[in-house]
Amino acid sequence: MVYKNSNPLSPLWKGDLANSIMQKYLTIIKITWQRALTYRFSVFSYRMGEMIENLVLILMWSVVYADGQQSIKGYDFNEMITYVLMGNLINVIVRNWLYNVVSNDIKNGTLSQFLVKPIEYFRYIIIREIGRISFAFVISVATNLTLILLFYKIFYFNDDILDLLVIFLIIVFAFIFELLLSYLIGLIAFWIDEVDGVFLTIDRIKKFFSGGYFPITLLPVVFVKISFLLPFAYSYFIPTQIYLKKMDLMTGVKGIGVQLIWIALLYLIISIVWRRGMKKYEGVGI
Amino acid sequence: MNLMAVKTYFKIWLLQVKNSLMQRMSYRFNFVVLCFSVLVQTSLILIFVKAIFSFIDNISGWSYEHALLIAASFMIIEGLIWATSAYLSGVGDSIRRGALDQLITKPVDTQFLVSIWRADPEDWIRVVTGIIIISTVFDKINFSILNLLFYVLLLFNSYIIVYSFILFLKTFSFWIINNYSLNMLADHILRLSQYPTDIFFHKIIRIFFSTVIPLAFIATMPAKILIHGPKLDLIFYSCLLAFVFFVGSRKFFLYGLKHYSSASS
Repeated sequence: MVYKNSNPLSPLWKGDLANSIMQKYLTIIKITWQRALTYRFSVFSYRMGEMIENLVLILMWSVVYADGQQSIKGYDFNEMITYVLMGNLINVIVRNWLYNVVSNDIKNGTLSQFLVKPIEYFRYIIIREIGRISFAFVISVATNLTLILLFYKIFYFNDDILDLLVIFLIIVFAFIFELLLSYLIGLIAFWIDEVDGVFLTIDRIKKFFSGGYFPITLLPVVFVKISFLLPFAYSYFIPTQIYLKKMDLMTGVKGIGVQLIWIALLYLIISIVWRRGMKKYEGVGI
Repeated sequence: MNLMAVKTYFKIWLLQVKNSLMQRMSYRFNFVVLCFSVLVQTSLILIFVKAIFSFIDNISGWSYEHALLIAASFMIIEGLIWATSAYLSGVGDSIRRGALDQLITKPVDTQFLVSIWRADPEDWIRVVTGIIIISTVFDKINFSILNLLFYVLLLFNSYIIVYSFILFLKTFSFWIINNYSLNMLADHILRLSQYPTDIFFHKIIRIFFSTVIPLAFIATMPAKILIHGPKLDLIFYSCLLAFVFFVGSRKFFLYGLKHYSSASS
């Protein structure tokens, strides 16, 4: 990369450097969008499957409430459907499939090219994943919003700016956490051949303890306590509770603190696992 | 197809099962982790059913024990599909990597070879767990040997229907190549069969999920037969669906095979 101003002492040099770095990352994102658009049917079919699953979940709750239940553990029918729809919208914003990319790079040996080049693998792969999921993100959010509009008569709309701001922050940190967790799971490929099964299991556990199947408060107290200690509840349950005004803002703000602690912990674990993994890495496949 | 051919195919299948097991067991820690993963997944299904029924008595007339039967039936079918053919991952993988060339040139049916390409032995845990759950609720249902025999027949039909449905979707890999999303689509749709299909109270949706995508015949109908006894019309319809789906998916697969363009030759 040739900088316009190659004199490091020049005040313009830092600006040029920042621009070239941004250009590099934007190029990565652009390429991943082009790849995603090559396989448009994949994005469409995946979204179809998810929408069907969400609709059936809504149908199931409709049947449960139609059988005479007015309220289930403090949730009336409108609140339960809002919980499902809002929770799914948040879930599609925070999720990613980074583990797949990382584990394939390790298994196929393509990680080796990053070890001999002046590119930091972690930074590159995170940027690439953001680019990769951004296309699916746009489609997912659009389809979820469409689903919400379909049920607008029973969906509860919250226009409290403070609530929405706290929810926004929780979602941002939940996104970062999910990215780091997925990266960590991908690193397991240094030791295990089949990462899909591990990811699927963690994904199901996550969905369970995040309240993805139903509000965590419907479970026995011990599950609720475990869920609040784990960071998964911030990807679904806590933001939706704030949205439904079933949780005060202070709890949400404290929750952000918990998220930051988990993110720091995860980053530390990743550093350790990466160093250990590098000792084991054989570069098989190149 | 004569008896000799059936014996040959059976031997090939057994050999592939042995290879798959050896492949998995060569990485023991990996295998243990996978077994644990499967156990966790099956446990979560049970916890989910238990949690739902902690505040209701029934869903569309299905009690907790009967809903467990549906979940267990689904577990058995899902387990069998993974344990025998790994969700037909061989179809997509062999097309994408160009490995289908080797399979097409062999004097064995290509569909058979791609179906047994990979098997995940750890998923037998799902089958065993499903059977254990069914045995725990025997006293809550109208159990008889006849019901059990028809239940097994319907489960067999369910297996054929699920296999055919997945094969139908996976055949699109001949055109779209990147088939990861097809795996997810098949998984999302088939996973719906763990709910009692009586929740679909709209007539058109019920007909759709009884014919076009016969979710009702995967787990709900076999569970109904086990609980209430055989209903000849349902049994006949289940057999008919299995036959139609199998023949239809095979024809589509063979049609897709004609459009295969090798990546390596």
